[in-house]
Amino acid sequence: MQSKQTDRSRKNYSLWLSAWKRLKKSRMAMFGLALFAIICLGAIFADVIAPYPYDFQNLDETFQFPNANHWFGTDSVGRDIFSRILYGGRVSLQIGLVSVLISVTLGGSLGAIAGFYGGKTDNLIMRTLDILLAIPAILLAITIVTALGPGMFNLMLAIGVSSVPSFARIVRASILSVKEQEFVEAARLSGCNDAHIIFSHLVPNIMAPIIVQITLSMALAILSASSLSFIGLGIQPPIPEWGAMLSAGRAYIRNYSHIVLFPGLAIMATILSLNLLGDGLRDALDPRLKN
Amino acid sequence: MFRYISRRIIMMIPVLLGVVFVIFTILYFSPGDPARTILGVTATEQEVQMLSEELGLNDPYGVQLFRYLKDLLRGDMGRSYKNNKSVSAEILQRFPTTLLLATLSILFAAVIAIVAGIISAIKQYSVFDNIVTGFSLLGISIPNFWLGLMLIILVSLHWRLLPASGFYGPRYWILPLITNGVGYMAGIMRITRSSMLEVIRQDYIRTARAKGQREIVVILKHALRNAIIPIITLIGLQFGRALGGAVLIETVFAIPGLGKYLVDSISAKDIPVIQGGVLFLAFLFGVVNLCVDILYGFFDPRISSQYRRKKEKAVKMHAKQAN
Amino acid sequence: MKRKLGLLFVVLAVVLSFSVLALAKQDTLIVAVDREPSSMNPHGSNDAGTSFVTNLMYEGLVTFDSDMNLVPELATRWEQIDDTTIRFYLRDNVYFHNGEHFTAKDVKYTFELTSKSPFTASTLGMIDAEATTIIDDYTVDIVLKYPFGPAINHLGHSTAAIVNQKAMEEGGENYDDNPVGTGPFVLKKWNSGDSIELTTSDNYWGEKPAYKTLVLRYIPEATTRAIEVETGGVDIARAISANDAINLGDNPNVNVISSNILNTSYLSYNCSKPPFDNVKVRQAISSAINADAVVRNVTFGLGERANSVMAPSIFGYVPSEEPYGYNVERAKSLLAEAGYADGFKTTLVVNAVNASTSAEIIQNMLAQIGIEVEILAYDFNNWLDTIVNGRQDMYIGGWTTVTGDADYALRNSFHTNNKGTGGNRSYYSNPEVDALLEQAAVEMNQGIRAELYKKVQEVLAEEAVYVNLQIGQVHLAAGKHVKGLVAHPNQNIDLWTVYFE
Repeated sequence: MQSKQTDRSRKNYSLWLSAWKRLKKSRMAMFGLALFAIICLGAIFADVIAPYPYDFQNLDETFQFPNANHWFGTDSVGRDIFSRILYGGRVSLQIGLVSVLISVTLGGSLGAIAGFYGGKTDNLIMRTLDILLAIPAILLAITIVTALGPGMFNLMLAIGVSSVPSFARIVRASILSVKEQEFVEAARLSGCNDAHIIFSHLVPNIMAPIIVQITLSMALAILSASSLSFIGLGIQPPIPEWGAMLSAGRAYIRNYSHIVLFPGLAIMATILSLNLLGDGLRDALDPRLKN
Repeated sequence: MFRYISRRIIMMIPVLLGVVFVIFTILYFSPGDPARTILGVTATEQEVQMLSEELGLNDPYGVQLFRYLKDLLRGDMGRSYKNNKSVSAEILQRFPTTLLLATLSILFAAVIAIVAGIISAIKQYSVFDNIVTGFSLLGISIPNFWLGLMLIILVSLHWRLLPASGFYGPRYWILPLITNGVGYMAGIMRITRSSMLEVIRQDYIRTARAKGQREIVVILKHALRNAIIPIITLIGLQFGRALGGAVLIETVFAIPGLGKYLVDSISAKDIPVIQGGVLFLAFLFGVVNLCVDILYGFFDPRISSQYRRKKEKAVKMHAKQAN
Repeated sequence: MKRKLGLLFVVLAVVLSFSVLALAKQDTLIVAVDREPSSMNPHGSNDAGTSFVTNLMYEGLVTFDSDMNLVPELATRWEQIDDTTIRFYLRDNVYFHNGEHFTAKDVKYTFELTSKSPFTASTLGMIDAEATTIIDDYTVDIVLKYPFGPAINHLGHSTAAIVNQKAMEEGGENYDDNPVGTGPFVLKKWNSGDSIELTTSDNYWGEKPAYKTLVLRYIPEATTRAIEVETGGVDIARAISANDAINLGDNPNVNVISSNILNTSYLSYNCSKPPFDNVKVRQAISSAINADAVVRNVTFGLGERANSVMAPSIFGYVPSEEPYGYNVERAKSLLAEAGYADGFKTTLVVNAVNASTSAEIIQNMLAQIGIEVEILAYDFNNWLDTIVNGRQDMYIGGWTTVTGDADYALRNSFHTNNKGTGGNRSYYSNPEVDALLEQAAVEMNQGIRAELYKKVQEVLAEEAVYVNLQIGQVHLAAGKHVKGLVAHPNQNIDLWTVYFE
């Protein structure tokens, strides 16, 4: 039994290794990874890199076009847009990560329970999630944010909850496809309890589709957050969030389009990097889908 | 067939009731008083009381929910708190616009994406393949409201080519459908490419080629026909989403569709409108899914239910990731 | 030859169709508006979007001109019979859109309706509809429940527009499809969420508009409205942004008209909550905020700073001497006197749509005297709910005095009885102010009323209840061919005076 276990984890390890090798071969994915790394570094070291604090105003230097002092120009109250983009990356990435964690945890557990136990439990959970799935995600998120009030955590919660059903479905489907395999049967015979089976045996085996989904969902979450901010339901000022920067800048778009251009490009670059990475990961982790 | 359809429709009823319950509960317990929001900043307590009484807002949660469900069963979706218009009439008036925008956007996306997807499958790993893949990924990475604003500035203001707002005819449709469509292109393109790749390697394609048929015939008649099912599934799913998801585009281009109507109503806490609208969209979503399932059979009556289920699962997963 | 003739025909046809198009253009006025109405019934809503449209279709007994003077409309003149009775002499040549003759009966009927509408209780609640008497077809005595100084001003508000009994009863639930007034325009079609088409009324008693069709297009984005004027998609755009107003001002094909409205914005507090119950803290905050700089920034230098708690075109307005203007040193010492030498932490609730930028600038200014402000930018619904129920520390608010009279501005916002739900969102309470406001409301001599309101404004300035920010402003943009466009402080536009050139 013991040796079988080690054997399997070694197999798992080599699976990840070969996936990484495949990933490395994909230029697109590596480009995505590099881009994402740059964005993350910019966000993490914003304190060091950014030439100004994100809320430093200079009412005498408003609406400056990009120049040597302000690489991306300044906004309507004279704040440095470059600095705000860097700090904004923190906020956007945080939102993306936390809201996806919320949906992974909630959706993942619901999906795992549904898939593992099947029958009535499965039916109850999945039918309940069908209700959430039937409501357009953006409208559901708007409704939840309106109900909870604005603020960063509420925003994450709203976005997280609205993508719970898709995670639950994926996890459930993956669990169903592995739960009948022999190593699960073996664990069950050896007297492991359900939780142990789910977390030690099933979860590691369904990580591939979940990782892919996490990457792509993060992109989606960042996009959703910026959409909500755009209609004024997002982050509290003066904290910079890319969508909120877009929203605040859109009144000036006719003449000072740089105010809107750079946050837009930042969102685009982040989502593009995550999509490229997610795509690459899907091909690398699931050789069957690789063509 | 009829039995299948009616069973599916009956199965939608509990979901729709659940939608009513969820939305009503969230809205009821969210802060703010609809009467006060409608009456505005300068309203007095007396005015707020009068309006609350008129709208039945003073009744407890259970009473209001039960009243809504009772009216709904009689086919009455109530009247808007804000403008007292019949919710069902308003939805029906706005729906064609939303439907048109969704249809045009998906058509635009699908035509370009399928053609591009086929070419990049045939010329796998070519420069064209890379460009198309990169471009389509860029497409889903652009926040569409931002793209809309940029297009208005460029195309309407600077080039004076197309109108900046409204939805009155083909000239007005172009910018919104591009803005909305690019987001859907990537998914369709990707799935076209991968399912074409899968099919192209099958024996019968080799056979067709061996028989000396022209390449274009082989691709369109034999390969595409067999690769079309996942593509249709994804387009169907996207169409369902597009019906409820063009909220911001409708705001940017001043299009009188359902999405904008609903978002405005959420901020005004206009519960009957939100209820009615979300319920209608949820129903549509169910109907679109049903149509997709029926289309499977139409496109390929040979697929066994076993195969269908497997395929469906894989495609839906794929589709969700693409979305 | 034949070919040439054919060509000539084509050219002719093209020229002809162009001139027909040009003529057709002259016949239609297209206006981009920022808000949709909620009703076609003047008593069915009190919002600005509704008022804008009903103003085109209905008329009241009296109305305001563009300087906020009361002028006759359906009444030719009026006289105060006693403290609670005003006699109106009506025009005898007025017909409703449905052909019904306008008489005193319609006036009584209208006020019977408004006494039951939740949208008119604060503006017309003082009218005793039962006691209101029809003297003859063209004379009516409007009776008030209590003496009320600004009564006539309230009758000039758009919710006091006269409706027709027959039309109301026939219309019933579907009245909005076929609203009937006496004004210059008749509703043709309301394409909800998109546009409203109106045509000129054949029955209008006044000078008929110079065009046949009026289209109001609802375009929510301010930038888009400006672009539509610039590209000729619409003739007039209402409420473009200050930034666009400046830039369109440079465009030779566009006219921009900016005007002050009956609204002011301000920063205020929950004055019943520490530390803001301490007048020294409020005075310190007033002194710490460079309100001129805030206003200059958010209005691009186009706006004026308010120097009273209400706008200048309102009866009773007196500019204050600004006892606690911008002075950071004084702010610091006042704060120390109040016992907060090291400052404190607090929150500032704003409506995200219109006050986020002001809040961010103010946050920076207050940081200089050690007050650490957390901004809570809410949607309208949440913001209103918060300040109505007194959950705020500080807030940025605005007040539109629709009646153009100080009573509506001051008694609602500062009387103890109106705390919270009534309109006093600063939870301010001062027996002296209460007494002055009560006295002014029932006083009939307008000179004495003005004196009383002057005193109230002085007390409020000394007590630093508000930090006055900008006077509300609306920018209209119109193509050069549009003439006769006058902006109105009540935010409506008398579009029937517009013509093309």
